[in-house]
Amino acid sequence: MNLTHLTALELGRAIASGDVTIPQATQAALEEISQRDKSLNSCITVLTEQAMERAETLQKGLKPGLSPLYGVPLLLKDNLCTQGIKTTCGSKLLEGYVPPYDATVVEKVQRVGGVCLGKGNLDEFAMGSTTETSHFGPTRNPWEESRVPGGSSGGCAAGVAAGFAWYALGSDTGGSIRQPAGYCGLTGLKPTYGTVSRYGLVAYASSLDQVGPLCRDAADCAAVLDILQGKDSRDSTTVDGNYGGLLSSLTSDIRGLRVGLPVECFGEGLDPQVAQRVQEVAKVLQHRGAILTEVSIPELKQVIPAYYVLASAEASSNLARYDGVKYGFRAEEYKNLTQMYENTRSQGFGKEAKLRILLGTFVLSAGYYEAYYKKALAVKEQVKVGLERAFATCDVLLTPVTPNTAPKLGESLADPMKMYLSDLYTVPANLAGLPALSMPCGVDGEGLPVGAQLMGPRFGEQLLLNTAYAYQQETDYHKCVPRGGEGR
Amino acid sequence: MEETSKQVRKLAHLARLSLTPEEEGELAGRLEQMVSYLEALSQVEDGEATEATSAVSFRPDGVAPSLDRDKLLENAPQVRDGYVVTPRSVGEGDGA
Amino acid sequence: MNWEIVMGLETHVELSTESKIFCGCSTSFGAAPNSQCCPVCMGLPGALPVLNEKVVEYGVKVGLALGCAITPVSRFDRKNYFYPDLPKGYQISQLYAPLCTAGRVEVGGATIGIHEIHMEEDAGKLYHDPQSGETLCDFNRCGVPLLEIVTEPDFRTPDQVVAYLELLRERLQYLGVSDGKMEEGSLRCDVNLSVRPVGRDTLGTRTEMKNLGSFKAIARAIQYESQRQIALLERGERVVQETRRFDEERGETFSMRSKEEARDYRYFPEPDLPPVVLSQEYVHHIRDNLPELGEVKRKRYAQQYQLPEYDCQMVTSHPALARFFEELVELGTPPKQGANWIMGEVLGALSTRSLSPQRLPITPKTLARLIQLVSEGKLNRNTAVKVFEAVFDTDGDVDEYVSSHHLEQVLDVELVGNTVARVLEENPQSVADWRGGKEKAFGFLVGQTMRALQGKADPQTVRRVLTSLLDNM
Repeated sequence: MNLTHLTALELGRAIASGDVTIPQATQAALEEISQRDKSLNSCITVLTEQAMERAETLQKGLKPGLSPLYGVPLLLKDNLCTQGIKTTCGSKLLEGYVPPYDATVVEKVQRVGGVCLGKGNLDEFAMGSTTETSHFGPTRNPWEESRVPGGSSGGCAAGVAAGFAWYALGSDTGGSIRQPAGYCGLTGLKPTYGTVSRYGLVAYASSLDQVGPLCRDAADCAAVLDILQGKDSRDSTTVDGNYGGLLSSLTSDIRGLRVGLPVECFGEGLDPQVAQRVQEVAKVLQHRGAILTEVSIPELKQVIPAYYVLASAEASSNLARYDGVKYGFRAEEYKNLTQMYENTRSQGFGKEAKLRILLGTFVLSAGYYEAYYKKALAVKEQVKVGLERAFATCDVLLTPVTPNTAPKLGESLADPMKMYLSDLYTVPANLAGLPALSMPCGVDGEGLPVGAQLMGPRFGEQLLLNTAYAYQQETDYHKCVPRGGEGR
Repeated sequence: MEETSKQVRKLAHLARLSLTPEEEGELAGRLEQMVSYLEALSQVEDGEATEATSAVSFRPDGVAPSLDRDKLLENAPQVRDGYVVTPRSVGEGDGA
Repeated sequence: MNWEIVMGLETHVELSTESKIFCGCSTSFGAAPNSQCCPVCMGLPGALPVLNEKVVEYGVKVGLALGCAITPVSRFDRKNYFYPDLPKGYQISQLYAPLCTAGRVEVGGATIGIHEIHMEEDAGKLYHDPQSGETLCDFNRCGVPLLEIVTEPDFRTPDQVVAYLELLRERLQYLGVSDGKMEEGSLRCDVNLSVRPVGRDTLGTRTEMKNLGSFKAIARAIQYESQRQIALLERGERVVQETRRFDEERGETFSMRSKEEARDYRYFPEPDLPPVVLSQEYVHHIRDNLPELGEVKRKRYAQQYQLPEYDCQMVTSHPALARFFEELVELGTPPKQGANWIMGEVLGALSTRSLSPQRLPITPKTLARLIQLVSEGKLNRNTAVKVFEAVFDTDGDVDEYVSSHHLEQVLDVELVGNTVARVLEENPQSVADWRGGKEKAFGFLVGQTMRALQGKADPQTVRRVLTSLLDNM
């Protein structure tokens, strides 16, 4: 048995039954990291000693009736605040920043016996789709190291795919969990906006950001979301999803489930290989009793411009606090306050962050607010309406995660517009605040994973997870692992 | 392009970024490309915002312990006598 | 040419909540720098605001007391600018949908429209360090709740402005939402001012004056600034729209920044806070429970208790005094006597101790008992004042103090008679003087008798007994 290829729940069961100890599992993961992360660069911080110490402590506390993920090691995206452990957001501005508090989701995974192995690399302040804009260097895709792992949760996705940890917590603003999950052959879930606390998640675009799991399969996602979800008195935007137990309600029975395929998501620009893999998913679901329907959601046409207006606007404001006054990097040379601000921020932010700050500043500035920001808000409303209409005739929507498989390193930096446009399928769920799941559905001609996305109505997580669970009963793409594909 | 550069400088100042000429050129180009792409939004009709899906929940007016000052200031670049120190603020624009 | 001054006010009111608007840090004054801060008010990465319910309640109270409409769904917005006193790089405020709109108050014969009232957070405090030339930041004030009350440009004279502010302060105090102290910065006022020829309808170019620390400063600033603008216009120059700072020492205003360099605040809806949704029941409940305000009390006291106008004014000058007065009356004190004690001894004692009426140590029950002893003739008024002074700070037991110090008024006519007889015997010269027509001698004999009785006798009785004994000698 190769420990690092188990699912999180399998490892949890092995720990509970005494077949594996928590230090053994932790040790195995740390060894993988030390062997391969020099080339992958998935972790900004690796907590070797702390993790081993915690593993020993947890092992002593082992008893019946604990969480199914008790003792299972994980990675945290490095924009989730960890008390006493530096949290950099992939930025020079927070290179040495040590938060004095834990994010709510961090508290939650710790409370159920999580072992945090390290902090996953990301695009600077989660702004990007490739994990190439990190101050700490790009992360590589374990399936093919010349490729990007996707982003912005690319470090976490690469890490879980490479067997460095059994699951990870990422964040998703326009696809930052689902897209890297797709590129790395993982199952990832962006929950309904508000069902998981953002307290302690360093904000990129507050009205779109959600924390969620990156896992090896749907059942793991259900188990992690069971832990993460819930109203938090410290985050005013949280709501109670009333999910009951997501893991315990997985049945794999999808008979009669209405699966909608939006025509807008299978048109121009979509790689035919990706299209084919996703159509095959539809066939599998149909085979298990689902009913396929074609739907049209013309409102999706404007999602990309609307997304970039709203996200950049909020980012320009959210990133204003990195000014060299209270924490983080401060430039060494300046003659006055304005220079201190400008030098600190200019030296601290990378190019992509600067571009988005400028764009956000532009769309909010006097005379442009009405022309851009208000219009983008209108699109957001229209997308909500369009998706609501679709969910009146179907239960879940099936789309690709991205138009293509993982691009080569450097490719996206050379053509950023193409990168922005590739968020087409993932962004609607963020704009509408709806849950969406990404799951592996095979590989392309070059052996790179292809992802299929399931989108559901508000609080429809159970539907999504059960559909993916049913699909994964029928297929074993989620069991494929990179590096020569040694199956389990 | 000249016009764009001027506007980029204005935006950069609003956002407290100082750009090198090279950066300014590149970012001005990319920004122009983005903005022209965003023009698509002008076709969008203003819609009525639908009613909010949630209302803010309140916190009772009770005092909770503040953060230990040493811990709070641990991350500050410059501290003196419990104060955070910055270059002189007078004459650099002021509060609202 | 005759000129008219046109003014509107923006007043910041610091609310007297226990904790800050978006976090649980204390709002109390005088703490060590940066000791009342947390991830939220320090703007640490990842921290999020949670709204204090008292801030909304206080805002609605003020809105109702100023005749405003309460917005059923109001929202917060971010006001973006860089300054070291603003840790997040933006202030959470309300622009697009403020809590209250469209109110009005009558003041000094004028009707002042209230444009809006919105909630926002205060910024930190900056100190200039003369030694290093640097700025020292204390973030304790960050997140202290403020209401900003914006009027229409309805003021024409400095007197109206001051009268409005006095009225506003009194209402804030009666509502119990702010101590309204301008000197301590819990009431801060900016004046927007323009001038125009009398009879013209359109508004002139306005300036905004900041740093007005007292009613006096406001009146002086208005005086100076209106004259400055009039002089400019009369010379054929124009007024520049700008923000000006009032220098209290020099009595002049100085330009801070002009509109051309005015900041672009890039307001947009605060994504971390859902809308504030207030039900009609909520607003009605607050309206039904609003306390009686000062001017209503004054009218009622005049009618119900027949108090003179001056007394009404004095007794209601602070809600704590009015409450004290009403409790006295409830305990059976005749209203006029109660008012006299409050205007005399109570205010005197507060002033010698530099105490605000809120901190009044003596309770109405104690003073009511004291007044009762006087009216029952058990204590004379002079002695009562001494007792008052003695029990004021500790709210001591009046009866116990009186008995332990043997201060009961001597009502025994026989004892008074015996004492007077002895005094007459001991002071033959004074008796002779009195007979010789010296009225002063009578007073001396009264004084000697009172002294012999340790001041506990009723002076009227002493006079009566003395007169009758002298007449019979």
